[in-house]
Amino acid sequence: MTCDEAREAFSDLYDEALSGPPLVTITQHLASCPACRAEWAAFQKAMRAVSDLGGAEPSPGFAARVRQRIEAPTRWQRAVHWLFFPLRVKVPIQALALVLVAFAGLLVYQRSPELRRAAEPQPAAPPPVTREAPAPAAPPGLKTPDISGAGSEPSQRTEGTRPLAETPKAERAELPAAPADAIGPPPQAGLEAEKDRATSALRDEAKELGKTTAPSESPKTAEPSRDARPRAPESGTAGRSLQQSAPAPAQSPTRAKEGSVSSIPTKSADELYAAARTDMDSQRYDRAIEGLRAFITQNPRDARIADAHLRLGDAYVAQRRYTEAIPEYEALVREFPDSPLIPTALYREAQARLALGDRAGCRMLQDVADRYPQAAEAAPAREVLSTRCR
Amino acid sequence: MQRPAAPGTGSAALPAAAVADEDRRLVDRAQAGDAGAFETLVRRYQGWVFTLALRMLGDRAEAEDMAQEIFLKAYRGLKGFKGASRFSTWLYSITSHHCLNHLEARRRQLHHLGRGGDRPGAVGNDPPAPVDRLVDETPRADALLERADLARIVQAELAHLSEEHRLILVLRDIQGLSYEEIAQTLRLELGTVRSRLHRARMEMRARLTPYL
Repeated sequence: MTCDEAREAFSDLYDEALSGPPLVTITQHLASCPACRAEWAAFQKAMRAVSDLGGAEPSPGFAARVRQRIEAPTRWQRAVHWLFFPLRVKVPIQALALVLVAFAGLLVYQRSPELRRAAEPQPAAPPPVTREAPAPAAPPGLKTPDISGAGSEPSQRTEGTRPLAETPKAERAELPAAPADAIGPPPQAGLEAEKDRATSALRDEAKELGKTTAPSESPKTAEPSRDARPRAPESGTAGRSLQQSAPAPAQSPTRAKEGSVSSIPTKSADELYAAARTDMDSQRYDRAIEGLRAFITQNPRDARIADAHLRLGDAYVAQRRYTEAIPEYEALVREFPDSPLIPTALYREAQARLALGDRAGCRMLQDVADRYPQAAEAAPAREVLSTRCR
Repeated sequence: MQRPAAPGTGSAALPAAAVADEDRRLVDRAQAGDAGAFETLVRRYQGWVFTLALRMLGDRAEAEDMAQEIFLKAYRGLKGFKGASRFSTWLYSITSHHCLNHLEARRRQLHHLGRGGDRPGAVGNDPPAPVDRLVDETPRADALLERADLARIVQAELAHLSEEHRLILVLRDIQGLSYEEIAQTLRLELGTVRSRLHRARMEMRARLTPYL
């Protein structure tokens, strides 16, 4: 046995785990090797020193402290106890608080149209449709002279376009969520070209409007366009003369915003109005709004003021600025009580209000259906009433 | 050679089998919610658990806190104790692993604070204990060889062993567990226990020789 082998066996020897030949061998080696003997003695001394460390006891009361900690409620138990006990006191208080919180939440939700809109999924924008819808038939009894400016700027009417009365109900019911072009004015066309076509178009229109039937006449129709407003049949020249001689409406609230349009260079009424319509057609609504405001401000006696209010409201609606659209429709209704555009303005204001979650829109729709049963908006109003105001 | 006996197995106490039976009854009662029975178990094993914690950590207050944690851990895990092994073995295992985890966490914390900890299991990277300073700064003197001082030196040198070596040395040479009990407690092979213990002892001998 070598010295290394002997020292490898020290641990087993110390634990008395050796017996038989291994024990004899190492005993003989230690007897004959002074170095290993000294090493073995040092090993034993060191191990005794370790063993002599011995056991230790914790401080008195250790077990009792452990028991205290065991029996002490946990943090969760303390929290639950604090929340719910005594049950007969805490539970009713919490139930009452819950009801109050729920009620407050409901109130906030109901009074915040923004919240309601945020909660509703945004409908997908429908594909662009023909915006060259002609003016719908003026309901019988609404043969009021056209003050909308249609005489000077008659709507374009192309084949395949239909008046509002023929527009599918579903499309009209989606006014607030519809894309801007769905309620926008007819596509951009030269003012002169429009005027040139006015006479023949309006004659055709008048004939056709005379035959205006139920709104559900055709399944595929244009969106209710800006020009698809009720309009009294008239000749182009007659309309022009009428609008030129139309009385100046009262100052509208919008016109008070004169300062905001001061940057608009002074243009003629026709230029302003045509530019605004072009902007509407091109969906440049900010510019259209600016132009229409300028037009209203600078030409308070123009025959197209009512029409301008309507277009201004439509521009706001196209930008989903319903709260700003509503005053424009209201101004039209208030300042031009005899306008054939009244049902249209009421209908669109109602749609704007519904978009804001304002149930007054339902009452307005009912008003349109009741007071203007022959108007093109009557049928879609009833449709929206049945779908959204139940 | 005399070594400390495991709890309840001293000459004046019950034989090991009787202790195990008594432990089993106490465990059953504790599992049924009898905190008093568990307190009895605590009293029976508090010395053993505290000693292991003290020898591993080297600080009484810290060892006592850890011993409390160990018993709380055991109490919370008592429902999972199925009696496949003795309660003592189960408790030793909890204690050993809790000590190792605690030391590992402390080492990581010290390393994070930039105070060393590179050597695994080296509690010696802590600020030197009083005995360290004594040993470092004072020439060896006969007074140091008195029993109390020797105990402090041994404790300090223990702290310089790796955690694994320290643990196995304490379990065998201070707590008096057999190789088999150590193997069960640490979930090691007997051969591993034997070789690891030998290396721990040889290192400790080398460290203590200058003082002996």
